[in-house]
Amino acid sequence: MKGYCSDICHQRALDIFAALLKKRQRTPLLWALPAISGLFLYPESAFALQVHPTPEGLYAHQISHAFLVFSMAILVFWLQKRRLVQERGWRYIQVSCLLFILWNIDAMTGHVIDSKLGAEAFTATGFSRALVMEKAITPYLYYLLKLDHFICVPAIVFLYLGLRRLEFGAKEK
Amino acid sequence: MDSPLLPMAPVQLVDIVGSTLMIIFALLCVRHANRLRLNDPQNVIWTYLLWFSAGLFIFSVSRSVGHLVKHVLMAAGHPNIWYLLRPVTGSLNSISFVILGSITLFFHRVYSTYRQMQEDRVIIERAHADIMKLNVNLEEMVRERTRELSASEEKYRIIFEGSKDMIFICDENGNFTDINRSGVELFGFRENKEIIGRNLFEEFLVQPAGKRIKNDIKTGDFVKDVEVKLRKRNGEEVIALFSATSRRIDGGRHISFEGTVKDITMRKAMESQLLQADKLASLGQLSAGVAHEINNPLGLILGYTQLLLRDVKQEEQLWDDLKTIEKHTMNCKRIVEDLLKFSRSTDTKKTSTNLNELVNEVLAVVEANFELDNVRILRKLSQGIPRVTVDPDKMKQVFMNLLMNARQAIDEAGSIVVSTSSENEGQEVLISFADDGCGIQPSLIDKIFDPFFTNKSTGMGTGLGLSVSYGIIKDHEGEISVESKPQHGAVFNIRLPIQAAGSDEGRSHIFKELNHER
Repeated sequence: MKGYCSDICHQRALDIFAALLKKRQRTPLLWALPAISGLFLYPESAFALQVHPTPEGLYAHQISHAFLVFSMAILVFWLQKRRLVQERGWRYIQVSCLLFILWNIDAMTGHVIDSKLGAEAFTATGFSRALVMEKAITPYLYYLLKLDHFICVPAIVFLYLGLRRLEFGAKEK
Repeated sequence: MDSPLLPMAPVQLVDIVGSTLMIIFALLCVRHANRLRLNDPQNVIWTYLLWFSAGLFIFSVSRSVGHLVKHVLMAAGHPNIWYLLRPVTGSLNSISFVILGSITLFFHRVYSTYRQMQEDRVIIERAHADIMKLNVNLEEMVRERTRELSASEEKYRIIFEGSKDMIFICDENGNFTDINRSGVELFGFRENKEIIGRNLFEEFLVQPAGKRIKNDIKTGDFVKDVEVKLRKRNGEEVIALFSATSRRIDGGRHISFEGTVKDITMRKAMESQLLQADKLASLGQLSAGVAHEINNPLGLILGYTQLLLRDVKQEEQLWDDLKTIEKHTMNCKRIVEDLLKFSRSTDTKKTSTNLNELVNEVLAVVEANFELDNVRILRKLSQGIPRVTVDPDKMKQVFMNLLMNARQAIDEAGSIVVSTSSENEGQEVLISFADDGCGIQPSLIDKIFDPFFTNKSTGMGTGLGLSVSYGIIKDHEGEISVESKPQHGAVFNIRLPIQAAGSDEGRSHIFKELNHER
C-alpha cells in the first residue's frame, strides 16, 4: 500500500514537471517549485538532523583548501587575461597566488598523509617528537610537506612586495 | 633493530618562525593596501586589495596563532588542551580559507566595475573638460558681449544725452518713457522725471497737428521732418522739425514711438529776417532809382514854380495856384528824400555820440505833448553805455519815428518805456522803445518795415517812417527788430555797434579815449 502511494506521488510529480517544461516557464520560482515539492514527495530520503562523524571536519577543511586553490587560480587567470601582470606589482601578486596555490596543494597533501599516519609513526624525544623512519616514502614526504612555510612565507612576501610596488606606482602617478 | 628517527624539531622551528613571519607580513600587506586605498579612495581595485589583504590577515592569524598555541601547549605538556582546541582552530582555519577564497573570487567583478568606472570617469572628465572649456569660452563670450553692450550703451547714452536736438521714446499711447536733456530744456522743464508719463501728442504738440501726426505715424510707421509747433511749459510755442518712427511687435501692435525734435524757431526767425532784409534791400534799390529819377523833375518843377511866383502878385489867382503847386512839390520832395534815406543813398555824418543825450533831446521835444495826452514816458537809461559813432540827426529821426508810432499805438492813456543798455560785452548798445498800446498783429509783423505800408488812417502817415528808420539803422550797421503781441504792446529794439566798420571818426574817437586814459 505504501509503495503504491509512493508510485502515484512520483508519477504526479513527474507529470507536473513535464507540464512545466512544456510551458517553457523559466521563472526561478517555478523551477524551484517542483524541486521543493520533490523533497516533500520523498520524505524517506531526507534527514531532519544529520550526524557529523569525525572525518567530516577534515573534509570540510580540505574542501575549503580546494576552494581557496580554485579562487586563487581564477585570480591568476584574470590577472593574466587582463594583462595586469605587465605591471611588476601585479606580477608579484600573481606569483604570490601561484605560491599560495602550491602551498594549498602542499597542505592538502599533508593533511591526507597526516590522516594516514598512525600514532606509531611518531615517538617522543625529550621536549619534541621524532618521525620513525620506515622503508615507506610516506614519513619522508610528510616531513617535507610539513616544511610548508618555505612556500607560504614567500607567497605572502610576494604579496607584500606587489602591494608595495603598486603603492609606489600609485604615488608616482 | 630500531628504525632510525627523524627529529621534528627543525619542522617545529620553521613552523614557529614561519607562522610569526606570516602574521607580520600579513599585517604589512594590510598596511600597504590601506595606504593604497587612502591614496585613492575612489579606486575599487585598492579597496579590493585591502579586503584581500584583510582576508589573508585573518587567515594568517587564524592559522599561525593556532600553530603557535599548539607548540606552546605541547611544550608545556598540555597536549590534552591542544586536542580540545585543535578542532576549533581547524574550523576557524577552514572559515578563513572560505572568506579569503570568496574575496579572491570577486576580483573579476571588481575589476570590471573598476574598468567601467574608469571608462565612465574618462567620459565624464572629457565631458567635464568640454563643459569647462565651453564654460570658460561662454564666460569670456559673455564678458566680451557685456563689454560691447556696455560700450554700446555708453556710446548711445552719450549720443542720447549729448544731442542738442530732443530725442524721445514714447509708449504706444504717446506718453514719454524717456527723453534727453535737450528735450527737457526745450519744453522748459528742469528734470527728466517731470515730463515722463506726459503725453506728447496731446499736451505738447499744438493741435490739430498732434493728432494728425499721431495718425500719420500709426498708418505710415514714421514721419520725417514735419514742421510742427510745440507748446512749452509756460505756454510759449516753438517751431520744430518732428521725426518719429513707430515700433511694432512682430509687425503688429504698436509698442512705442521714438524720434527727434529739432528746434528751428531761431532759424525760422533768421530766415524771416533775411527775407525781410532781402525784400527791403530790393525795395531800397527800387526806391533809390525812382527817387533819383523823380528828384530832378521835382527840382525843376519847384524851381520854375518859384521863378513864376516872383513875377505874380499875391492878389492874383495864379499866385495861389503856384503856391499850391509849390506846396505839393515840396511834399513830393520830402517823400523822395525819405525814400533816399530809406535806400541809404543820402550822406551821413557820423560822430561819436552819447545815445542817452540823443534820447533825452528827442524826449524833451515830445514829452510835454505826450503827457497832455496821458502818455507817460519812463526812462531807464544806463549811464555806463559807451559812446557810439552815429549820425546824430538821423538817429534823432529814428527815435522820433519810433516814439510817434508808440504814441499812436496808445489809444487813451499809457506809458512808453525808453531804455538803453550795453550789450554783447560792451560791443553793442541796445535802445528799446516799449509801449503798452494795441500791439501789432502777427500777420503784419513782417510788413511794418515795408515802404508805404501803414495801417493808420489816411493822412496820418505816409508809411515811410519805419522804412526810413530801418534804412538809417542799416546804414549804421545796426539791427532793428520788433516784438509784439496783440493788445500787449510792442517793443522796438535797436542794436548799434559802438563803432561802425569803416568809420574813421569812430576809430579816431577810440584813439582819443585811449590816449586820454593814458
